[in-house]
Amino acid sequence: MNGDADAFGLLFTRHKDRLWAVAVRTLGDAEEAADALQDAMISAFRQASGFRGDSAVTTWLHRIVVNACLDRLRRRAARPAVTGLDERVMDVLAPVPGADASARTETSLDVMAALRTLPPDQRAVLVLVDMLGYPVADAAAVLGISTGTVKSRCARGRARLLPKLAHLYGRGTKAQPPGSPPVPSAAQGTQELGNQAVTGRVSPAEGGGDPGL
Amino acid sequence: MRGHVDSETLAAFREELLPRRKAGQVAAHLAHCEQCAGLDAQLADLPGLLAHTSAPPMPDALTARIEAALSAEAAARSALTPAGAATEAAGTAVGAAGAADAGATPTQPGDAAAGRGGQHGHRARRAWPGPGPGRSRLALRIAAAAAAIVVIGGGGYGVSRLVSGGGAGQASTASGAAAAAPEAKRPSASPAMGPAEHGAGRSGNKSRAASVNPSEPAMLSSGTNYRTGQLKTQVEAALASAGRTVPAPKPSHPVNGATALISCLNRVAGNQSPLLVDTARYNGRPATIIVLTTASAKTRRVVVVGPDCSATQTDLITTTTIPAPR
Repeated sequence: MNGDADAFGLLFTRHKDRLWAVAVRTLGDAEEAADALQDAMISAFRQASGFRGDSAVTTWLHRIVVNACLDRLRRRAARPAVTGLDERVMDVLAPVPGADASARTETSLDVMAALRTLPPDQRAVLVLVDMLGYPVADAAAVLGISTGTVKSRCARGRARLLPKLAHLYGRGTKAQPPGSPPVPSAAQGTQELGNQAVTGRVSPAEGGGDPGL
Repeated sequence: MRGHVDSETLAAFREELLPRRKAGQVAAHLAHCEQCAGLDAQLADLPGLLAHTSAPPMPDALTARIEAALSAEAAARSALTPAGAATEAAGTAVGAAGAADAGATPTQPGDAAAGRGGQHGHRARRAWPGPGPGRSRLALRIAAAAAAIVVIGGGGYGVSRLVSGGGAGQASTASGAAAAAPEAKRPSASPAMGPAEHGAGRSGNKSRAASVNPSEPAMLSSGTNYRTGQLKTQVEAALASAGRTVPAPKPSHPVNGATALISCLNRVAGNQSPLLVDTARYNGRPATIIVLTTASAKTRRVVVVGPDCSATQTDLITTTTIPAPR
């Protein structure tokens, strides 16, 4: 398509919500996500001469967005002292509708805060696989790594996240009621073992279908 | 197996990443250790917890901003093609943007924004599409974005004249920009714009109209050294004087050239209208002071960006809100 603006505009329209979902979760900050997504779309448009209208396009777009986010995370890690401006400029650049004060929002904030403590690589796989329900193979394609690497990064990320989120169990999940010790019956635990593989979830954005990579 | 299983091992076990023997040990341990089984259950629930994490939806303003940035990119690209291609590119809503840009960019032949991507071979490529009959909402949005570009493209034209030091005064570049953008290209007039500010062409009050009509941002290169404590006062003074004075064109330090400034403006302005763009200084550093309308008619947004502001980064120095002049 040689970067044809028309075609690229359609591509953007079709994918923008999913790409935004990836960016905002990976960065944990709406303003930074907005900048990352814009950078990524401009960059994609510039190199769009090679893309074709097949499923690889989706993977490619995701890759550019994820990489833009990871670049920002690494830059942020290198220079941790530049927060603050983002919030002030937020109302100009990317007004976010007021968040409702539900417990779910609170939980989400806790999860996002915990996620921010993970190394970027682990964060990226957890966003794609656990948060957005992309199949491991798709996440691997997006990140340009093997499925085994996706799984091990998921495992390490989850292990690291768990202690930071222990207080959430019982709040808004089907886990234990609040206050009870986090120990299910042995039978439950065993049953869980046979069922350990994949969650089988799909991206909510897709309304139940394949995330469409 | 002695001792408990740590969570990383458990997580790896759940992903079937452990060697068979180790996996067998973990399974055996889980069968009789309540503590580790509890940890395992929490790990099992973790993806569900993550999946239920909500995040803000993509703001409409961001969609508009990115579409505007993309159309600026397309316009900048088409402006690099020869005049014939530029004419061809001149569709309905896009025409003025292309034309304005064609005027602006030749003074910046090496501009990185337009030059990247190696697209020079595709001369006949269309610019951002015009609203054809069969097109949907997308086309309308793109048309709106293109209209916004016209405004900024007009500003960019003015800037390039200033940069090139052609001796054109502020008033004439402003009117040149207006001429480059035909009447039909002004539907983007900000809703915040009061009726009193509408009459850009009124005789007798021409200078004021030039400074306040949001579809024609006042382009200055004042070199003023804006300061933190005086920003509001200085901006108000600049807004007030923008229409009156004809500052000598000073090619001080534009934001990486005119095309970058257009992209920067698109990025910063989003769907707001720029009222004033002053290439100047801020606390002694090179800076561009951009004054925007806001959703409220009562306020103005002042955004101060550094020389690296472009389509891909803001290079924000500071931003503040000031009351709108009455």
